[in-house]
Amino acid sequence: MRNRFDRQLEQLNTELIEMGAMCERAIEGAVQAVLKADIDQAKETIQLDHEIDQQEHDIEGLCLKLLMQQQPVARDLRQISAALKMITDMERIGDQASDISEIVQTVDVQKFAHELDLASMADAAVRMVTESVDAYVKKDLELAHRVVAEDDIVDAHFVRIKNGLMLHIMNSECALDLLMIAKYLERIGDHAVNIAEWVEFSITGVHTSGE
Amino acid sequence: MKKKIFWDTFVMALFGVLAAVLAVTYLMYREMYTNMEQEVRTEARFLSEAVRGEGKEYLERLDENGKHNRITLINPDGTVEYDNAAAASDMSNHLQRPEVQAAMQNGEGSDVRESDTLGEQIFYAAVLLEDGSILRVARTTDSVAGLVMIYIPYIISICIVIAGIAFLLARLLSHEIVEPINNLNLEDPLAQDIYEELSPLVSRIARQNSSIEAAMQSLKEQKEEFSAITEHMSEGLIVVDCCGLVLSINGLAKKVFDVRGDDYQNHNILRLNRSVAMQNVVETALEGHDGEGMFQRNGRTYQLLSNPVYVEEKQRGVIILLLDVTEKEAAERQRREFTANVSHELKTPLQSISGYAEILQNGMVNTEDVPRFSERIYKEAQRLIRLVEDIIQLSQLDEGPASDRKEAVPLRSLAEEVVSRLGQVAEQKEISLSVSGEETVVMGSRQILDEMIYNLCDNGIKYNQPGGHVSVNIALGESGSTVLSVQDDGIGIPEDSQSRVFERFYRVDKSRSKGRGGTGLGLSIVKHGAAFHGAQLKLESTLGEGTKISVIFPVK
Repeated sequence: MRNRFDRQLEQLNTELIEMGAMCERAIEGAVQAVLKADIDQAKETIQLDHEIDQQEHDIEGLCLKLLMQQQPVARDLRQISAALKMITDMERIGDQASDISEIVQTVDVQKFAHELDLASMADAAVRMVTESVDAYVKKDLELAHRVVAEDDIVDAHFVRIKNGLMLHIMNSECALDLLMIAKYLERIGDHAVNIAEWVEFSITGVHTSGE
Repeated sequence: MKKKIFWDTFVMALFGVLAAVLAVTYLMYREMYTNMEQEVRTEARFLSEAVRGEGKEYLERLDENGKHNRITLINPDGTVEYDNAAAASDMSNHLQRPEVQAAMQNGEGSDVRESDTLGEQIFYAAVLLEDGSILRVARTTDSVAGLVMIYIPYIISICIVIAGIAFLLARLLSHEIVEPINNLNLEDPLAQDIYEELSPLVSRIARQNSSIEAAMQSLKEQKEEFSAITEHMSEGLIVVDCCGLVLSINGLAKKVFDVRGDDYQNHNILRLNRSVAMQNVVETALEGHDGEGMFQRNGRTYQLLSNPVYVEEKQRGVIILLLDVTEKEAAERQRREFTANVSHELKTPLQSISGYAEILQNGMVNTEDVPRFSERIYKEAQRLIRLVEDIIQLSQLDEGPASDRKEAVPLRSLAEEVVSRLGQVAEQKEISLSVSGEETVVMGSRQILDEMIYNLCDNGIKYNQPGGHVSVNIALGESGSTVLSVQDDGIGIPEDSQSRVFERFYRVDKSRSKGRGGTGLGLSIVKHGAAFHGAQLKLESTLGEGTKISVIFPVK
């Protein structure tokens, strides 16, 4: 019985890692689409978002099945409930990558993106997502803490880009679109923080927001 | 087993006791019954003798003396003359009674039946008297049962005692039988004294023990062999089962994926790495095909190769090989760049030659311009030849020289020879050349050393201003090494380019390369030549002040 449960937990783990990898690919794709004004890449990212949504449904189903059939307690219960919360954040990350890709399809923001060094902000956001998934994979509490701390970097980038855009806002519609993209990246950072917090919860049983 | 032995023994003992008691009781009853019959018959005979002597009055007198068996005197016609238990007048005719009939015929008779008068099982014994009347004595058989009943409590208490003893003995017995089996040392079954009946089992266990031990040993050896191979191979190796769970991973792969301890074991491979390439190769191999992919990690490039593993025609897992191809990749890139550069460098002079030749062919050139055009063609052709020579030289150095036979080469005379060859070129550029230092002999290839000094001096002249100076110095360095240095006071090399000047076709100032001539391969030849001689290169240069390149030959 326990053996079967362990197998199912491992499957849940694997599916979560897969979903995390899909999210990483989605943001990287969206960022490349912005920096290279690559519409094909943007379309691919939007397609990937659909897959992420599907994956969220699958994982949700698996979690509910585990909760009902196995009635887990303690650490197992924490892991499953954390998984349920994490997939919501991952799904939102996918949505935001898709939103960025949609902007790329209609407006060319390449010039501003290079001028204001959107790439470093994107790098920071992608790194946060990668690290939050890594923290989950390796059950690494320290890494999870680091992700939470790294949010400040992305926030600082956002403020920097916002200030840089202020001068252009009257003259260019693109400036507003780029601001949206920066905001999406900033939100992605927040979701990565959420994921990291749920990782902490699944390890320690204490959620940061409850402290 | 212990329980079974106990219960079997105990129940058997109980059953034996019970059977013995029943048998004893039955035999006792039988014996007492026969005794009782005998007594009654004897009494009947005694009484018949007495009645013969004294008549009926004896019986009446006897009755007064106390309780006796029932005695009846029956007349020959069957009427009852006397009975000591009931009134004779009330009793029916006894003529048809079996014992009476038997007595009338044989003199004596007996019977057992339910008495009409007393309602009990009764034994009758009858004796024929001389006068034809019959004397009958009767006794209830219950008296026998009553006698037996007296003994029953004793028998039961003996039973209980015996049952108790049987219980204890059964326990002791079962314990004694089982104990040696329980204490059997299976590791070394033959070394102990054990029931004879168990010895086939024990010897079989011993045989199996040794075969298991041998199998374990060979498995262990195989495992050690396997891990020795995998741990020392220069590729990463991961074995995955058919569900994608990691079964084994060698040291190098652990290092690449930065895993510690055993926390990878029986977890999905995605835990190690979730790159698209990894997902693809695992998936492809799980579908039964060979997979290949590349991925980057920690600034290095790795190639992934995956193969499905079949055991008895059923897919059991996947083997993934991890190759570090960073250097290969870089070499590949360099080769591609080199090819592109060579094509470009070859094309440029050919283009000029072809252009000038075309103009000449069309007769569009004035006669006085022909020498100028011819000179151009000649110069470009010379440049082309030099380039091709350099490339041949380089590729020879790449392949390793045709003969690696080394000879003693006197460096100073060689340098002087090279300098005298370059004298004219230097003069044209108003640059002075000098050779200093002592004559030193190094072991090496004269031709390659010649090329090296030539290229170094040529560079010194090329990248110099009019009035400049190039000096070749041969000196003894630290711990007996020979140092050949070529110093100029030319334009120098910018710091950020210093590490790249030895690359093929690298030019510090690309826009002016043509004006200065040269192929961009000179220092590359020097580098390869130095490598052939096991020598080290040292570059010191300051922009605008000059460059000094030293070749440090190792101790002979």
